[in-house]
Amino acid sequence: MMIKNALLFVLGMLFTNLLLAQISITGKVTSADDGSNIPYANIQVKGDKTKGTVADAEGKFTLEKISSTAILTISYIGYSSKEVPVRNQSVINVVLEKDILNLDEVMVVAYGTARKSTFTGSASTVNADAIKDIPSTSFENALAGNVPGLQLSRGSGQVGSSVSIRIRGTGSMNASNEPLYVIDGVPVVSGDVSQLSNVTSNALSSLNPNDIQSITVLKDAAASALYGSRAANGVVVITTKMGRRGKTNITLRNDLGFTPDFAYHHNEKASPEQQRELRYETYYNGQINSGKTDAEARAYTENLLNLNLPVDPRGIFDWEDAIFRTGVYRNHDLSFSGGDEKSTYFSSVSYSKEDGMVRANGLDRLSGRLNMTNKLNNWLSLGTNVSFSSVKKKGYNDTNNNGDNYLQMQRNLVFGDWFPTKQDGSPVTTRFLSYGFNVLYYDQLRDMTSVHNKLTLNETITIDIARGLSFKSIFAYTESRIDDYSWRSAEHYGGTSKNGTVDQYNTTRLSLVSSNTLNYNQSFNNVHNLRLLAGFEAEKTRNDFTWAGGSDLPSGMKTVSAAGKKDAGASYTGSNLLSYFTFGEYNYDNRYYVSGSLRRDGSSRLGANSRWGNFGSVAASWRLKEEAFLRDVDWLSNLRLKFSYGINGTLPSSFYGHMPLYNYGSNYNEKPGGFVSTVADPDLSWETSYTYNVGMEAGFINNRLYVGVEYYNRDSRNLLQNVPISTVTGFSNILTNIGVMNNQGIEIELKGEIIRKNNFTWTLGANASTLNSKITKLYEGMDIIWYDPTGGDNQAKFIYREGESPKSFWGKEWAGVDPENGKAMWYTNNTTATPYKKWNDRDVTTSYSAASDIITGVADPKLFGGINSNLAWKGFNLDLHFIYSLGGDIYNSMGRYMNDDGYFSWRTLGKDALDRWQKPGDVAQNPKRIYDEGFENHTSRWLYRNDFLRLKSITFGYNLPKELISRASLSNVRVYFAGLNIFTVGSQKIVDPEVNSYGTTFFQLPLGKTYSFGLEIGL
Amino acid sequence: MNQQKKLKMKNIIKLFFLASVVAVGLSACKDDFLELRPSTSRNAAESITNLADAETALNGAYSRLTRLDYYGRRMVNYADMKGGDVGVTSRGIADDAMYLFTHEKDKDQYGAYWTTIYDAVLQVNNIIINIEEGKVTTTSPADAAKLDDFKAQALTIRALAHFDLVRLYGYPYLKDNGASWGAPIVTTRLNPLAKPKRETVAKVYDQVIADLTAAAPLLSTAKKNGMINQWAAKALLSRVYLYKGDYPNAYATAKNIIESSPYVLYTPANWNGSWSSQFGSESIFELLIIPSESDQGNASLRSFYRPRNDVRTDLGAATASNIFLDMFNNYPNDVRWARLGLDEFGNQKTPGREIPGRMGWIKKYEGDGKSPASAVNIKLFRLSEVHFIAAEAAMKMSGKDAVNAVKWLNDIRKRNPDAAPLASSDADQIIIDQIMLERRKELIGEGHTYFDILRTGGTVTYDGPVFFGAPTIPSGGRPQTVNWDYFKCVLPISINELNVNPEIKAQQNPGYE
Repeated sequence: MMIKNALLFVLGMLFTNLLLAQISITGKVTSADDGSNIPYANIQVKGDKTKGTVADAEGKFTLEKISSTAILTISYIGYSSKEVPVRNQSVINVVLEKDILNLDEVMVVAYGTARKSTFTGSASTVNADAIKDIPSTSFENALAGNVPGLQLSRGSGQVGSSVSIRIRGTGSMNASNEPLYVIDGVPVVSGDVSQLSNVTSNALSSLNPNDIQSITVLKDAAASALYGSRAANGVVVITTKMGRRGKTNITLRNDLGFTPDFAYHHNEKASPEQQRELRYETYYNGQINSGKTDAEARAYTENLLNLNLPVDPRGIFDWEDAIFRTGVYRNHDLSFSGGDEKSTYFSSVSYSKEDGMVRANGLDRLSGRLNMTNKLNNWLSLGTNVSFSSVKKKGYNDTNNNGDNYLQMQRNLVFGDWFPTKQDGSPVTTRFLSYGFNVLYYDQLRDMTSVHNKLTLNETITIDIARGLSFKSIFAYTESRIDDYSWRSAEHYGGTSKNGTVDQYNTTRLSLVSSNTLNYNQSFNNVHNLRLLAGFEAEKTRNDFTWAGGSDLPSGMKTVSAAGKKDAGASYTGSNLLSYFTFGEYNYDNRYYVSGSLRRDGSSRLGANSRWGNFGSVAASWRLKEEAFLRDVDWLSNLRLKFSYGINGTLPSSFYGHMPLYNYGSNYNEKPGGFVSTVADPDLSWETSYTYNVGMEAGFINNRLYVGVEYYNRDSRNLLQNVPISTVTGFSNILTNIGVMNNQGIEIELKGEIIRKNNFTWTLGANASTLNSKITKLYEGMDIIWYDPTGGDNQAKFIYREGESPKSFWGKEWAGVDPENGKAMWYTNNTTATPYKKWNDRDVTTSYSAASDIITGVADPKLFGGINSNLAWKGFNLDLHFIYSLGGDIYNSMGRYMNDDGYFSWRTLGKDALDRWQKPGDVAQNPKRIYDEGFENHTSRWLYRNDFLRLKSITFGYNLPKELISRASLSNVRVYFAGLNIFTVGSQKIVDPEVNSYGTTFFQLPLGKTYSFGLEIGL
Repeated sequence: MNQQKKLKMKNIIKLFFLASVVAVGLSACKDDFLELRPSTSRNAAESITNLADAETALNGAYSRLTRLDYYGRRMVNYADMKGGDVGVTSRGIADDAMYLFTHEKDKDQYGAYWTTIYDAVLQVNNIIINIEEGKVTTTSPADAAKLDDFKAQALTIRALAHFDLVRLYGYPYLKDNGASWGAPIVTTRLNPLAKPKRETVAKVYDQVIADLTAAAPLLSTAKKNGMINQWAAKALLSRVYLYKGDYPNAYATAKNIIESSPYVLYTPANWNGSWSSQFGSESIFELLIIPSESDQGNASLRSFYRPRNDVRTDLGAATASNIFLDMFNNYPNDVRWARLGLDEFGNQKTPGREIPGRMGWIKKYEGDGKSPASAVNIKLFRLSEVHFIAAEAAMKMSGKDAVNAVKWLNDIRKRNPDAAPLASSDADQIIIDQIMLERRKELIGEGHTYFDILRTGGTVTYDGPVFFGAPTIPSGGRPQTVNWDYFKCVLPISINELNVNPEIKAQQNPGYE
């Protein structure tokens, strides 16, 4: 009885508003631009989710039983939303202004949505418009330069290779630095999914960019802390398209693109004549150096060149032309969307094909999606998102190797004097003198593909329990099957010793996520606005691996079943996460906002001692413009300050890092063998990051100019470090939480409508981010030397040192070439080496090993960002998107191969090798070429300042006039031209400035320059 | 009233819905939801609990010996390349830094010897310590004997590992009677953060001898293909005594093997064939290289020695040196020519490098019947070597036994039909020289030459200043002759170890500091 009374009392309180006077309203929503009707705009009674409606196709709406003092919120995508007090009026016509700068859009954030203009955390959004026209199967291209503080990099220019994203710097040495990706409320796998070594397959390639409605990047702790243990590197929240009430839209898109060339310089090869000249000099100098006379040296060298670079009657072979082709991109996309009062749907099917510039590289994607919502009654709604995709990537190993790497082959391993076929037309099958294999012959004898099939099913149930109180449950099932396949025939050099090999790897990743939240959303007296959320989430992932390998293949056969010898393996790994969380936000009169969140996560990746971690955040913002003292300042249309502080975590990458492991598989005598493989810290724990963020936003002249400034400071603590230990123990390191890093930076965003006249608008935006990353603590203060993990062979060398950037290049400082004798010189940077001479008033040595290592540069830029310009005139639009970067360094590991000073006998050289010392007095970049000398690595000789500006994407489109197309009963026809990486200027003209996240490049394929044409038809 | 009932009904349905949804969500949360175990490993603390576990761990330890940086290739070709009888043909192909002695103090070149060998030590200590701690209980005397045998095999591997470390990193024992730094000795479970120091060469030898003498009585005397038996432990022990200059013990141990073990020397007729099959009559311990387990493929010793122009994958990295071939040419009918073949220099494109008919291809790793052929067992101990040990010790010990020495040597000299048997009355030095010469001829390519020259204070001479026939001399190379006074005659402790183990810095080998 007591309980019932109490319940009635509470319910009574909730329904108090019902007692006020109620009226009915009709009205119409129109656009301020041209007075046209806005169909299907949303009309909502503020503070009461249950009261609201959607305008009809003519923009008309009716609302019944509305409180006479209510406030209506009218919103429509692409327009600034507007609040209109009812004040007893029965007819309310609303004029909405276009929100060209997207300052007031609703964005999807952690477990809900938020209005950009009032959000207390730090987040940036990228909308479908910025994504859809880019001629690439990878939507990530749209993020570069569009999100302040976000750095995007790609390890290889091969299509379909995985992408790396850093949000606000590097926060970990050992665990992941990649953000968490959340698609439609469900965390998903990102990164490389392939089991093939040296060929990556991007998990996110499975997402059709045209299905994306918006991407929100959550950057500070307030925005991301609700994702707790996985949010320290930021969160990328992707929302797919939903249908909208109204008539069915059918959209058909077709794109055709071409990638004829690389985007920029990339260690171009010198001409065949120049190769001969350089080669001659190398051997001649070598002979003279070993005491031969001029005549002897000439005779020797001429003889040598005649033998090894014989004149072929067929002339010179164009390897570049034979190895590279024009890449082709095709995309066909069909989507339907629509809905009625009860349900909406969006459905799409798409096929894309991207053929890389190297014929061994390509990607095929078939994908489909159905997103449905259904409101069953006034308290229960269901949502279903189903998607599938099949991505097939064909790739090759582009690390340093002399058989499979096409770029390396063309640039470094074949002379034009060498032909891929003998005079009789049969292929050359032996190694060339450079040790290179004839890639044009061997690539017919191998295959490497990775097929990623993915099925996702998300079920959402929303129950409105009482006014303002609802319960939402998402259940997501994702199954990914990755089939990797590698084949080498018995004729292939890699397969010959086993008479042909075939390997088939199957990975099944199963992920189950159950996310349950209770939401309470209510306004009191129109000034107290409260939102509360509490939830729990369980995530279970399991990866099953199977492998079947075969050798001794019958000729022409490529399957394991056909093999004479077979081998197999199977295993699984798993990782589970359990979380409880709560979030609250209160604002007073839309002026003062405070919010806070707490999350408790438990992970199977940690031992029982340290399994549970607590994370959380607090934030506040103040809309100064709403205050009396600013309300009448006309030129200022918005002013807001915000602050947040919070704690996030990162889990170890290793699933069982807290356990000392004893592994199997080290068999002997065909009997099982086991070995102690790791030593572990049982207290292994989360990495935790402590971030604060302060920001200011201002709008001027009716929000036609927007300025946003943010400063963040992130201390990443308890960083996992593979602490190197004495290998006498039998181990080389132990994983413990020890390091500390700090990242701080300022992000400035400017947006403005420069021109807005009748049919012409021009908006311009620019953002700039600074980044200052520093390691503040390492195990016992000891430096850690580490090597670039990409590209093979430990090319670039780095150091982790307290007080320095985590991306510090470590090596010998190049002093240049002595004009007197052409010797290479390094600054000694020590007092122990006997100086060779003074150079620029400093001691130099000609002995590489006598010089000491120093920090020679830092990969991260000091300032980076993007510039956007959008012009629209009548049906035309021209969008330009630039990215830029200043103050970083880039290490060209390929340099010492393309410019080896004489070390290699028969490798070809780059154009840069031409600038070499030949006679006393020459001021040259490169030393005298002498056979058998040179080839030093880890030196600033290959390090360049990497300032650049790149026209990352460009779209020029035209919407055919409505009058014209309506005759063909079409609703929209758009033709457009798009380009990717079209134009670049840089401080160095040697390698492509956009490389991997380590700021290095080796023999990986650089990015291409793509031009595409598209046609979009709406029915 | 009706309205109220309806409302009630609706609330019940709502509650029911809520409850079911929450229940589905919670169903994931079983007690062990966060307790996940790996599928291919177990907690190392529980690695050995019974006899089968001990055997599995022992297999794992043997497998460690077959790695590329140990007996899989680099422990074997180290002593041949540095020993002057094998030459490297070009730079940058494989292991040329060892041939050129470009190992430097601040580089980690070939630091993998250190880490790979200590990894093997960790594995055998895991076996020995668990057994000593009584983690394995046996119920029958037969099982107890088996367990003892497992432990003794582990002890022998531990001895081999320490002996190899001291050969690579410490000066030869006889240079200063083992007074200089050898290697850290590990016989216990080390704390992960331990910073072990080097012990003297003498102490390491003591430990090696202690392990082997403890192991031998526990080991089976039967032939055990691919595994260590008592004779293998004794063969190692006799070698250790010989390196140490403890000739009486070397003599006694080797003599015991010759007289009591089931192994018999290859006859001249079947010498050649012994390289095409596994487990020949004189093979005391042969590491099994199984294609699916430890075949090094293109990195194998087979590929290392194969001429480049033979098969498209082969490196053509090394050939027998001119010095060796000049010596061997004196014995044109020696059966051991069968394992030398025409190398690639017959059709060289580099002027000055063509030598038609050059027999530099060392063919001891051409295959022993498995497929692929690169999976060739590594013969660590052969009776022939034991004969050399016995003969050398017999000549060098006080109260020499020239009769037996000559007999043991002549048994092998039969492989050259032209060789007249030596007589015990021949001068000591002649006999000793012949032992050393016969060793070179017999054991080329098997990882002995360099150690054999250095341990007695001899001088290694190399073919040319550098690569065979190469036009110029690279910078930073070694002299043309090397002896135990050259600081680079041993490897430096790698920079990686020095960085994490500061106390060992003071113990760096002189010249590398």
